[in-house]
Amino acid sequence: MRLFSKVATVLIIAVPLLAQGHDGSCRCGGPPIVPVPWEIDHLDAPYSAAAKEVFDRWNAYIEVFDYRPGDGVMAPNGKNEIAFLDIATTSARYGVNMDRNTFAITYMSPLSAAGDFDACPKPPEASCGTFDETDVIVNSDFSRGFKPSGPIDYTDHGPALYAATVGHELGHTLGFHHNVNDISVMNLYEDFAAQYIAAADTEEARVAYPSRVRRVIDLAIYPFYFDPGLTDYAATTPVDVSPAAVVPGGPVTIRNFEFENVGTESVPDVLIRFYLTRGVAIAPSDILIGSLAFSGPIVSGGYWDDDQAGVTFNIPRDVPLGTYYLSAVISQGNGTSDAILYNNSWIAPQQVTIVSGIRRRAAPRR
Amino acid sequence: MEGGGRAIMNSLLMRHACLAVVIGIIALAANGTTVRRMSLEDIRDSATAVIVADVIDSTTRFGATGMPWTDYHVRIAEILRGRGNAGEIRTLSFAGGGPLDAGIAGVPRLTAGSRYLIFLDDTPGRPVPAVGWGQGIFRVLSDRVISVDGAQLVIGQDQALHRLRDNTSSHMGRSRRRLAEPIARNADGSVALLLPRRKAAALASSRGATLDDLRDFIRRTDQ
Repeated sequence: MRLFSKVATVLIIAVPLLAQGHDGSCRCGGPPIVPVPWEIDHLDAPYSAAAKEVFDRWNAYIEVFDYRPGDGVMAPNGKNEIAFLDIATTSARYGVNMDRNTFAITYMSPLSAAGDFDACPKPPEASCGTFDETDVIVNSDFSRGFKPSGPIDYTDHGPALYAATVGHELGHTLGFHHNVNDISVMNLYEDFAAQYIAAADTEEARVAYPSRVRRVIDLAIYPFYFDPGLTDYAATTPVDVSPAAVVPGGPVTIRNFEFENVGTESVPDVLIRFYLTRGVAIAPSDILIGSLAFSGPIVSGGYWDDDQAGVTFNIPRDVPLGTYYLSAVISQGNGTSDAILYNNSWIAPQQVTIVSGIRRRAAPRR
Repeated sequence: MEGGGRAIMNSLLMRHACLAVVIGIIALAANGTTVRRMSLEDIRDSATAVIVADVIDSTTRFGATGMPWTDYHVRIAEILRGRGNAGEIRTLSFAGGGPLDAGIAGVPRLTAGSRYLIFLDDTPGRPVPAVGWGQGIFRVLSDRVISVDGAQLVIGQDQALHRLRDNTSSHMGRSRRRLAEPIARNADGSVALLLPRRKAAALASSRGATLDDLRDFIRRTDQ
């Protein structure tokens, strides 16, 4: 009963007190203090590690999350917590009936602090405030299940990538609303794109939390093309490599990719190198097939996309025959990689088989 | 305060407290929920019924748990899937609204006097009686149909139905700057082929979708 009264009071007084933030941004609401304390209530090590990684992804740009292990029990209790809960437990503790198509929900108290809208940019009349509590409830009954890490699922049918869902939900806890106009962790598209905290997010975050901004160099290469004219899943097209078989010296075309300077700093130039990769992880033994060199300075927010046209490289003639994946790695022009590693490379879903260049003699005509 | 007055006040406070809890909890779910974004085909195929309806007016009430609901009274103009007759009056209930001015983020609001194409999800207790929350509700204008989230529906050169972003609400590119084309090189240093950019998006010459286009789109699976 005490809880009911407290929540009621907060909700009732929140609206008149918290009219602020008419800055034309995609954000409304946020924690009362930063860094904001969080408890990780995952009971297994892989997901605890995955949660830390997502907190650290945000912290790499703005130091706003102060996380530590929790007691393993997530509930409306005044603490910011993250954990898996099944549908029945969520219903019992929070009164929310999720279904099996729901990835996760974010509990916010008071909700009015986030404004009564779902759009970007924020409507000018929106009233925003601060959250007393935010919990990220990851649905353990989600129909596709989750994986804590692993290769990108370009089909978007297998287990969902934990970082994509939780990165998005943590954005909500910072007051971020959905943003379908940009490459953004707050967009509503597939995991292969949603896993990235992109320039639109970091730019917004730096405006929202200026005292917590970290000066950082971060070049990100994305394995998809984002069409700004389309919405939702139609806006993203994953990287494509063709043909599936090629002779040494023959051409291979890579299309649907782009990069952004997500950091605060300009860099003098950018180099994207493309490799043939034996396994599903990038290794020093990978075989370089070509590169794209961009002259700078490459300012914060600078980007380039292939507009789904692509680039064609000739496979080196001395490449051993066999089947490879194709990977891309971004760095500064001198080969220096930045410290935010997860967005420095990708591996395309298609494989390329290097076949013998000796052709069969055509049968004689009769 | 007299005992009777205090009891009434306590009762009112408790009622508001319970309402606020329910409102808060349901509202937060709407705002922060990650629900799979659905394609137009998924929306069409998931709908238990599809109607074109004119909103007459709305009233608000409290549900059994104290949750406020807005009941929209609509006159059916056309039934594209499901049972019923043109001209009949139906009630579509959306969570939120009411005398406490409680809003629920993510729940769309309908406008009296407007016409909508609605892909219905008749599962009891849904906060929005449409497929995928607001994804299954479209505003019917005289010359075109638009999504309630502002996306334009168009027929592309491929004669298929597409959803396009409303460019007038773009937030993109406050500091995004597209870079000049790079130099592409093969591993041996020779020049590689950077393919020419597309002249124009294939959908650039598309036209706005009309209600007739939506009728065709729905009939494709119902035949």
